[in-house]
Amino acid sequence: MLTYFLRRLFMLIPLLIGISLISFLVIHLAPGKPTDVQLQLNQKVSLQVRERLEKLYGLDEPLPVQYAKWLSRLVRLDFGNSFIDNRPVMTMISERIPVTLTINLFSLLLILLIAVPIGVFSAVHEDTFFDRAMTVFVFIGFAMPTFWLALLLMKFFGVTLHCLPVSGIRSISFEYYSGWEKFIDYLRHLLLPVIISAFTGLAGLSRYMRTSMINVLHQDYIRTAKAKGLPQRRIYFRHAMSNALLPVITLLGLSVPGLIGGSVIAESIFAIPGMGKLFYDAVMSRDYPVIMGVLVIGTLLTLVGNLAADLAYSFADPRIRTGEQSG
Amino acid sequence: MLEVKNLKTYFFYDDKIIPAVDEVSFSLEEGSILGMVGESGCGKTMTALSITRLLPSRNCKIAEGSIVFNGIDLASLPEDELRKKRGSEISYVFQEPATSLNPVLRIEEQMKEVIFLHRKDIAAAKRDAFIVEQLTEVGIRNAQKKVKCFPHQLSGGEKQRVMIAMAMVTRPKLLIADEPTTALDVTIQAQIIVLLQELRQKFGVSILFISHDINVIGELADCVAVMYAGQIVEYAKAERLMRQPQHPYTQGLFECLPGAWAVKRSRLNVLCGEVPKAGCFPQGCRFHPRCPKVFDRCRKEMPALARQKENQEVRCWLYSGSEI
Repeated sequence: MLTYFLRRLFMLIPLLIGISLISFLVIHLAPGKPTDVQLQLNQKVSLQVRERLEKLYGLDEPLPVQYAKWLSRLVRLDFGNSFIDNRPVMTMISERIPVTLTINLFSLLLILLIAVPIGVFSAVHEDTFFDRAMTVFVFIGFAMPTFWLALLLMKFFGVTLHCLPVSGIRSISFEYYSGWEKFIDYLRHLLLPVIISAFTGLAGLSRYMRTSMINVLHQDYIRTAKAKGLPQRRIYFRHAMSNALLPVITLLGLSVPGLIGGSVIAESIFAIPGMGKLFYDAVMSRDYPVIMGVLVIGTLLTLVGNLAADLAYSFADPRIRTGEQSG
Repeated sequence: MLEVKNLKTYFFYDDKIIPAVDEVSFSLEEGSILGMVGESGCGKTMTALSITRLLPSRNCKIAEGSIVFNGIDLASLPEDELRKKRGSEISYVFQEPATSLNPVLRIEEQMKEVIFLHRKDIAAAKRDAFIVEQLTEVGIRNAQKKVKCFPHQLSGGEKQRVMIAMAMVTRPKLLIADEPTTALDVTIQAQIIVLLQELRQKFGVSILFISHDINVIGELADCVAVMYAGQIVEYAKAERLMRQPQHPYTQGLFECLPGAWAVKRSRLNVLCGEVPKAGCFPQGCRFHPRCPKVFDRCRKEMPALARQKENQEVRCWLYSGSEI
């Protein structure tokens, strides 16, 4: 088990290098340069100034050299400085990452808490009115553009009802609040972003859970459990769910990149200073070091998420955990 | 003890009704073994599942008939009451031991939940020892260690023994064994059959034994019901049926066997064709398209079960007897 884990961990390195290479290329091949933002609006800037700036950022060198330099700094855990405000990328990311992780963890939790029961309930009451209603709801969820739903919710809760803030993570008067009030204020700001981040995942996972549960309920061992005279509660929760949840673990691992991608949208809409917003702004101003920094961290989180899911799966499924197979 | 009368289990769909079990009647006395034989898809399993209403889908229902078990009609018993009988008075052993045990729960837990539910007389502290004792009794060696195992760590034979132990811990009055040996190899098969015989002797449990292997049935059962296309086509004492099968279908089953019956011929006979699917039964006798002795009447009218000598019952126009 340990060797398996170490091998998996070791395998992450080439994967990470490969992903960083591709993203580096894509970003640099995209039209527009960091210097454009600073220079384009100002007609008077001469060509010399532009060249000087490019030299300063190291943009005049060939791409492979740029990549090698970037990589050699990366192994020393140095992501470089932002082109825009010249602060270390590492600091910028560490400022932004807590709020993003908080939103993502809460929305993951929300997804699990709602989607799993919906899926299980739909499966148990397969083809009833509830099940069909949920199917409709889920497809609406799939189809609805997140940003549009976010705007609707902002209008309803923020403008019409006036009960929730529509942007940022703290109120203007935050400094004057007591500790408890600060906490409440923080939660109130996070509520809508968390709901929005959770919404699409909710639809997918509940659907997946339903299929998995229906599949399990048709297995022979469920018939055995019934034949033993067990109460339904025990059949569903102990016998069926312990099997039906196994594939969901893998799905959760795979949903990590979606969550990170999703926070770009949610954070931009709600003006939340998180990784997503940082990434969005960096892309808009072609701030290469920041873009690459966020991508590397995002990749790392995704890979670690997958690895964690695989490990959790092998712990949850005795057929994999105990390994040996007899007759 | 068990008296099934005129049992009809049908699948009800929006546009059609499919009979899986059609007018099946049989009875089982205390401590005896009834063998039920027939090809795959002729309604044996559906009959077995109907007894405690373990039917596979919402569309499948007992349409008619009674299943009187120790004076109580299970067919009309509310689900809640019936559940209390499952596992305690009536237990099942299924065909596929590999898939019939929950893969993520230890043997120990799967045994314990039955004891917890139905054997309140066994104190919590004694449960572990009791489980080991029960597993040893059905012939599992090293049971102390095996209880901690997950199903995939046991062999097929061991899994089926666990299933049997699990079915027997509650000392049921009726054990329904649905092709318990089909998925096992021949030596294990023989051991399991001996085990079932021992259990019958020891606990006086009645067994409904389902198999497609007429030899196994002949060896084990007191009475035999031969099923075809959802109906019983022949019903007799085992010894009588083995000696003198009367329905052409039963005769056909024997002729398919290697061994004594086939010795005189150089090659095995094969029953041509296959069991018609429920819902597309032919008119008249359901066996007539495959019957070597078919004549006009068979194609038009369905024969009823008729009693012959020695209480042998046959559903065939070849024989006349008193109708039941």
